Amino acid sequence: MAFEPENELLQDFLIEAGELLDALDTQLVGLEQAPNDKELLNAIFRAFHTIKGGAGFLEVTSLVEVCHRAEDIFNLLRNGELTVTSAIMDVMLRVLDALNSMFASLRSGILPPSVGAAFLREIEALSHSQKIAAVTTQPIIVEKTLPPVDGSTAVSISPNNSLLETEFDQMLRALEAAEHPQATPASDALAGNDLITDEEFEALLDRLHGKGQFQVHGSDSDAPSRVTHAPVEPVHATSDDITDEEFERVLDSLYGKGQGPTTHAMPETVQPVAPSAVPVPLSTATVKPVLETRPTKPVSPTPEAAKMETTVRVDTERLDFIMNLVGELVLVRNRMNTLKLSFNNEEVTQVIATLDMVTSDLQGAVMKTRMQPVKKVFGRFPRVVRDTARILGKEVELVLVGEETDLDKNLVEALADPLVHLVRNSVDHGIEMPDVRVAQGKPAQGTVTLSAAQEGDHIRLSISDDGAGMNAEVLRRKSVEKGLMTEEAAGRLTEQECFELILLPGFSTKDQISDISGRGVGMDVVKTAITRLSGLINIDSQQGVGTTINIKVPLTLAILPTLMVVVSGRKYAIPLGIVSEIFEMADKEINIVDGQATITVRDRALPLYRLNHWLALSGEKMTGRGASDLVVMVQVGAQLIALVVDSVIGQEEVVIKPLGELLHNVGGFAGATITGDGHIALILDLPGLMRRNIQPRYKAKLKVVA
Amino acid sequence: MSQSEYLINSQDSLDDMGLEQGPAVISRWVTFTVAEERYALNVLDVQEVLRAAEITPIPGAHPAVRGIINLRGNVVTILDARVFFSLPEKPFDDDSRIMVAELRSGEVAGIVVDSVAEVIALDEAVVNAAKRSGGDEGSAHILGVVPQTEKGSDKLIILVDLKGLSELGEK
Repeated sequence: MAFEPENELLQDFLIEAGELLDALDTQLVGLEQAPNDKELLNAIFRAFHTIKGGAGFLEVTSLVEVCHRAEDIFNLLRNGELTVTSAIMDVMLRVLDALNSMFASLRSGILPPSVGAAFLREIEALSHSQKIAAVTTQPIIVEKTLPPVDGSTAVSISPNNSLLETEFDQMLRALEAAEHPQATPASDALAGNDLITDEEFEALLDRLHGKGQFQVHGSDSDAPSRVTHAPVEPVHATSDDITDEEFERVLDSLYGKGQGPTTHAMPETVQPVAPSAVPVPLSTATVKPVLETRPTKPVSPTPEAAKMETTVRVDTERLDFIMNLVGELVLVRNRMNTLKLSFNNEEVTQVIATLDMVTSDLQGAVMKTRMQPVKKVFGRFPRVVRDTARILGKEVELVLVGEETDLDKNLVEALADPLVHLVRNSVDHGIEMPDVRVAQGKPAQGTVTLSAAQEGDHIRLSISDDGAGMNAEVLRRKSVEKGLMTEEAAGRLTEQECFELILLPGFSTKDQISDISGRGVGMDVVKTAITRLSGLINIDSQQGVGTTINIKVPLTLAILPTLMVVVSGRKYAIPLGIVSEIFEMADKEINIVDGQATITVRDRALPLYRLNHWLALSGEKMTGRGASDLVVMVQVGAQLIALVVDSVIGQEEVVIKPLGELLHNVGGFAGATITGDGHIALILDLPGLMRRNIQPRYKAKLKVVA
Repeated sequence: MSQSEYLINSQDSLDDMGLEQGPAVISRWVTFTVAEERYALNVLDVQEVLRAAEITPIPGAHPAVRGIINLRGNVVTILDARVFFSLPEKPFDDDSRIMVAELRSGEVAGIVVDSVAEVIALDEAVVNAAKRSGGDEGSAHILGVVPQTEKGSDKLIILVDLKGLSELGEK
């Protein structure tokens, strides 16, 4: 079977193996923290093995060769022949990156190229990295305990836990060859070669097991007999003549001698302990691992199978389509609600009320189908923190809270990048170097906490660190130095507003640009991304104690509660989440301070802007103050501003329709929506509008100052 | 001309117009006028032609953007052909039409023209010859010029390509 991008099996493989890859990310980092976790090691080994199996079946050889070598290393690790070191982990994480990029290319229908012989050798070299130590500690024992090996077998086996590396490799290769013949170049061409007959396999097993293990117990004869039942699964029949469990068992029985005595011992201690343990009778040694795997393995598929029947994999496009339809329905309902008044008919009103209710329920139900636990995003952070901390030479622990919080699928995806940036920032800027921390009486290891929680119809995400915190004065000075603000304007900022300065484009407190941060781009991008999600971001920091960044995003992006207002005779929607107050302008006093109109609300002076100036079409006359003008007070970032509108229509739930690419350079609009009466209303993106309309003022002023 | 005749996607309506299928490769073009000039768009690029629609203006957008419309629940950006061809603006009237086309980016956009005339068949060879002659940098949206064959008029038809319009968003 040649590589076919359209192959359905490939799509299934990409989904399933993709999940394994996602999990691997977390597992690998987890393993680094708990190098002795046998379960984890096995899980990782199985993941690589499964991916390799699938890739072999689909003839993606570049994937197979990488997975195969990674699998080898993990096999050595789980047998205690190698110990988990950061050197190994670094390579493994790179392997994962390579796999991820291969998957990306597979998804786009391109057969990924090989990672290159150099990298493959590097992976292979890992198996030898600790070999010298192993060999030098027990060369004599290996000699002494070698049992008579069946001379006729192609693969010689030593039932010693410290198998010689070469022997081990040979065995593994023999096993691999038996299981996935297509992985070897010789049989690539013919699909028919994929199948080896049961007899062949049995013979192979016999050869592998050698004499010494035959009389021991029944499980060995059990294994080959089960093989004959394996091809029941039609899809896997050609590739997996034996199932993973069986393969495991074969491996276990092969390495049984070593594993028996070590199952209760820590892998690192295996090597010194092993010599004395070797003479332990074969029977107990080999039976143990088999018994251990048995109770868990056959049991697990049953609940899984039961679960499979109650869930259905649905293309996200289909979900989006349903969501759009529901969105349309919501619009129709809104329209009906508008029309209801003109009918003046009791019955019609009732029907519309029912429609209203059902639509709301439907909307809620469909929204739930799109919910995903935020874990999906959080899962990548252990890796991000580890990598960043390693590069910087810091010690950082990541605490994840509220991973189970559900979030709209689109949000989960959209939040991933901004969060990565923020977490990286926390590690880079927030957490101090270990020696600095110790000098300040803090533990050498810093803590970054990432948490998610639902608050009403919003999700609050927060990233906090126990690092150095930010100095408002420094930020203030920097903003003036960088020409982002005049000295007076900067002087007026509250501490909170100073922290928000880091969100401005071009702002960086780092004097040196590093690989990780300092370009002054990141936070602006984060801000833009969060704003696009109609979310809010605020920063709180205390010098010497740490920084907390809070992000508030709506539960769903599809439907947005808004306040409909009229400006210059056109309707606009302001996201309701940021509206804090609406009042009449007539009875408020307006002063001009520093060229800026301000309105005093409960002794607090707020900048006042006329929306009809901001939203004027070219050539349109701007009207002055009207008697019926209303003021809508909105929260933009940490700042409250007052906006003058012609009139307020009321609250309306709208479906956001994105503006086309042709308009993506037009700042200030989050999208458009179709209103209850069939017209279009633009949804205002106030931070964007402010940037478009206010920023030039600072610049103009700066020119005057300069 | 009735609205139904504007619906190009139906092959039947094309055949009804009595266009001969010659042995040469024929491509079909929708002709429209902007400021007395005749232009043509390949029918395959045109999704539909709309009569007047309520255009919601976008404050601060590119001058060529007339606004957005509600096209059966989708928001579609509307551009003004006159601005593109650097002609004076003209208000929407009874003859004005919006030609909805898919751009290269996959986005659907509409373009306001003075009127839509008919569907004509052009020999692919003629079109290719025109394309070669009109490779001017300044006329990125113009493929070439072909003589108006049928009515014996000496006017030319300008073949346009709207696919590149997505670049407007980059400016």
